Amino acid sequence: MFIRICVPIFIFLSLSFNAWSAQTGRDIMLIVDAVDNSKDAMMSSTMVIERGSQKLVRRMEQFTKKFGTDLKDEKTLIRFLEPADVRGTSYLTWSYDDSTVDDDMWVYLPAESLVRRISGGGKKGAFMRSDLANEDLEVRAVDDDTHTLLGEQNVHGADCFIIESVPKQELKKETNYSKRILFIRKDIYLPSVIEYYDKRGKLLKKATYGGFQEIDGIWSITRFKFETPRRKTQTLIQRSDIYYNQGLESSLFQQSNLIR
Amino acid sequence: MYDMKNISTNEKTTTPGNFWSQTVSHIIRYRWVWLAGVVLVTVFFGLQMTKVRFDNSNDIWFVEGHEVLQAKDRFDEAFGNFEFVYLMFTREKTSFTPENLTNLSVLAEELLEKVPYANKVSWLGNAERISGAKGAGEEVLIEDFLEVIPTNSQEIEKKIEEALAEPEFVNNLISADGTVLLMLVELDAYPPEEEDSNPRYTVAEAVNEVLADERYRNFSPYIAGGPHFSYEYDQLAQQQTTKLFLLILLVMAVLLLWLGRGPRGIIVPLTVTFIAVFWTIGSIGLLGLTMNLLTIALPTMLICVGIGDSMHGIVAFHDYVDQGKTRKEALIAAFHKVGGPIMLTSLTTSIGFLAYLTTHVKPYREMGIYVALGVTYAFLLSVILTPILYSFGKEYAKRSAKRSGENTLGDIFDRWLLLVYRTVVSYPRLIIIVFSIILGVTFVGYTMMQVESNTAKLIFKSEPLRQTFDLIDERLGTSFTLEYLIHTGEESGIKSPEFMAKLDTLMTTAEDHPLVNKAVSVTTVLKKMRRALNGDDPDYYALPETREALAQYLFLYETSGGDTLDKLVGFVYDQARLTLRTRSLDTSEARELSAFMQNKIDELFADSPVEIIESGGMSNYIALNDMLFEGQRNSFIAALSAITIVMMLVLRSVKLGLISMIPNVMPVFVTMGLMGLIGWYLDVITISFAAVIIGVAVDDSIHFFTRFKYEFNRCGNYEMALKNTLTSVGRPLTFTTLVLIIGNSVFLFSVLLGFFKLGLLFGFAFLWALLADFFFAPALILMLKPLGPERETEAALSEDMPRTLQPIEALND
Repeated sequence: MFIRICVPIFIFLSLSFNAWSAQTGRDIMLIVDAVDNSKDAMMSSTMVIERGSQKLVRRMEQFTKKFGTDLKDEKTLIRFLEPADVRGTSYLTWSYDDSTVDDDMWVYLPAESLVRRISGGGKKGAFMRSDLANEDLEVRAVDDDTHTLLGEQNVHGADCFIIESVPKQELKKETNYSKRILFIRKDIYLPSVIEYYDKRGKLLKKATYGGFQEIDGIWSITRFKFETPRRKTQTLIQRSDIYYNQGLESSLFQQSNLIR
Repeated sequence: MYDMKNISTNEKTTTPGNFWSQTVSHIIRYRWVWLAGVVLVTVFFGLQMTKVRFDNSNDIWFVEGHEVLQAKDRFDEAFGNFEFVYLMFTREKTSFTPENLTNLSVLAEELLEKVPYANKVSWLGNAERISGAKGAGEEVLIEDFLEVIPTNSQEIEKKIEEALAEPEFVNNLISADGTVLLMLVELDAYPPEEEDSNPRYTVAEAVNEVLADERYRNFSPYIAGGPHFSYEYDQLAQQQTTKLFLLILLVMAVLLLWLGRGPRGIIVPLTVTFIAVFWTIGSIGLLGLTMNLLTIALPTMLICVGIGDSMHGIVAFHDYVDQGKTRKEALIAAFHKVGGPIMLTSLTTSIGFLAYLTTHVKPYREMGIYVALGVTYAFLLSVILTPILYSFGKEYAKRSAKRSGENTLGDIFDRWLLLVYRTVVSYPRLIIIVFSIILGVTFVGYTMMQVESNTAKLIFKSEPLRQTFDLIDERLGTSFTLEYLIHTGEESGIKSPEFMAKLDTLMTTAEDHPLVNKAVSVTTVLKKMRRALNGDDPDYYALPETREALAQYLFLYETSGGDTLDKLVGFVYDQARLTLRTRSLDTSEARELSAFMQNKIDELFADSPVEIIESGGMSNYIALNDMLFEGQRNSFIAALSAITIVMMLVLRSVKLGLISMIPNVMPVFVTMGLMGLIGWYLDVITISFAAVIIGVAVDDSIHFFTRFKYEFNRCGNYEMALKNTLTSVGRPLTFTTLVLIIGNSVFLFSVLLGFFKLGLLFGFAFLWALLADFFFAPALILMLKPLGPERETEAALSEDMPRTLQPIEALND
């Protein structure tokens, strides 16, 4: 309860503070990180991966519950609904704010009735042949990067902060990117655009966010698009049926419950 | 065209009335205008030269729309066509010490950071290994193969042993004998041309720059892949072109020094051919065509076949000067005489090269156009520049002192020609029998001739390009690829267990074939995943049994970032790929493997509606082989037919025309037949041979036969006509043959084996062309009497012919 009250106050204070005094990139990113102050969330997503005239469609449902100190750690269950032949295939991830601790992940393959813990694995790889890399889906701890406020710009009709986020030296090997440029909406502290730059500093991918809705008091993104201009591919993601704070049972996030 | 009848009437006067004398007279009168014209055209072509591009792709051999290219397009569409750079570190150059391995790890990161378009750098150190842990944990471990670099040599050797047990690493990241470590830099698709005009160079230079760093300097890896291949090939080609070009200039200068009189006799022919080469390369740029591996030979070849034109003009000029004509008169008279013959010989040479247009081999078609153009330019420039450059100076040019001794018949050429004459007249039957036997035997050899299209082995072993190729070939055994695209025609079609089982059978059958060193398909990935998810139990190294299980394993692989999936299956799972790798194979082995695979495919997929496309280097190689074989046959037949018709028209006799072709086909059969008999292969370069020989050898025949016909018309006696022909054109024919043999011998200094062989074979062939012209053809004429019965009365007249005419006749060659 403390957090539910305090975080909005903190945001409010920060916003007010912003009016009078200069913020650092890190300050802004801390606010961004705190926008989703829910204890748990559930939603449905549809992902359309386009390459030329060919399309792959994936549908999944996703459950998230926060735990740990300051609710900084997260457990996520993704269950696939489409394509039909993979229906029921599920991933369970426990991720930790502490960047020195590796995530835990389990997979469930219904056709083989088999649950396995997966350790390691490249974060740099593409996620399901889409334009998203696995690392793009992960929650990034604010202090994994050094953030610099570069300026302000109006993007798609909304005023935005421009922030450059460069991964910390020790994490460089684990990412595809030399930096990201984030355009953060000043009003709701959500990204409007994120540009991803490759190791040589060239634009690699661009993510555009939209369909901002306030759901249960939390500003949420309901649509986004990742484009890789070099490969002429793009991935569209639509989120629906978003519910926050439904009191999801902790047992939902136990690997033993993957087989149902 | 060349009118023989005019020769006797015009030879003592310079009366205009002949197209050539009028033209040359005009050129000399307005020499500055003509000269300015040549300069302007040269400047124009010089500007076009900047547009010339060097095509070093592997597809240079195929004309657009060829099924090989269509198959390749299908592959590229399904699986992408991205280039790569392969760095190969051999144990002997880069010992596998902890320090070196650490540096390799840094190198991998640095390459990714500094090489444009690089999107992934993999080597043993960062290669992903998937393994399953047994027991309660039931864990699947995905980790870098060298999570930490081992700190001592025992540990390193242990890791290498482990790597050799991973089939996916062997011959991909480490050679099967453990002596070569590989680093693969994968590249993105290149940007449009306006952004980077030569991305291959950009990549090659960036890689070389990174490698020049102190930490890696001692590694000196072998480097393979498109960018470096292209970079090094271009350099080799440029260096070769320059070297051969300078050599031929030198050789020609020496030859001209021997023949010619004074420095002008060297400068003019070389200037003419040099500008002709310049114009030709400019035309290549103008037409938007490209230079390639074969075009290395272009300048050398053009000089060989183009230098004769101006030489004939110059020889004739001096002959008339010696007769007391003024400089201008001598020039007009000279071109009056040689204009026709050199146009005719230029025409036949062009036809010989244009015969390549009947082939489907792109570089040959282009080469045909280039040389035909160059020969035409050399002819035009000879007619324009020779009179102009010789028109400057005193009204009476210096006469030759040696000419007075012309009748003494003392030198080696005269004795040789006399020997020829006596032999032919004494033993015509024997000569016909001997030559016929040679022709017959070598014709059989010609039909047995085989073609080898493996271009990599064309380069001599001393070159780095060849050493890299040999390393891949000998230590990895993966220099050739044979690829199959198997299209089910429906989305998710490959997720059927029946299909996967067939694909797997096809792959394992291929793997068992003794020629195949590596076979890769998605089934390996599936089997490995399944084994890993079942505690690395070897019993589970098998395909999942249901459609759902298959789909879910594929899905697991794709979610865990397995981007290699894109290279193994189509985006919507409608098609799969099977890649086979072998050491370099000769044509028969390649055909055998391809047929073996085709049989197995027919057997497995006979009842399923799948479409199967074969592609890859080996498939191209087989297609190229067929194409080259067909191409050389077609161009030979085309050149033969066209030139036979020209000869019949020029000689105005079907019979004599046919006989005149014997000396032209003789060198082709003798040379290629001999190769067939002793089992030498024709390669992509020597295959060009037949049409060129006909086109060039026919020049000799034109001079010989037109002269022979002229002499016979005058004296009506075959033996007498033969004697007069040999003593007049025999000498210059011997000389031009020497020029061709010596000129082409500069190819012996090429690092390209094909050109080296070409230098040898051309020499051999031109020698036989001359022998056939001097022995076989005259013997046949003596026996067959193609120009009708002899006329006694005129023989005496010929006997009285003054010997002073001989130098004039020499112009005709």
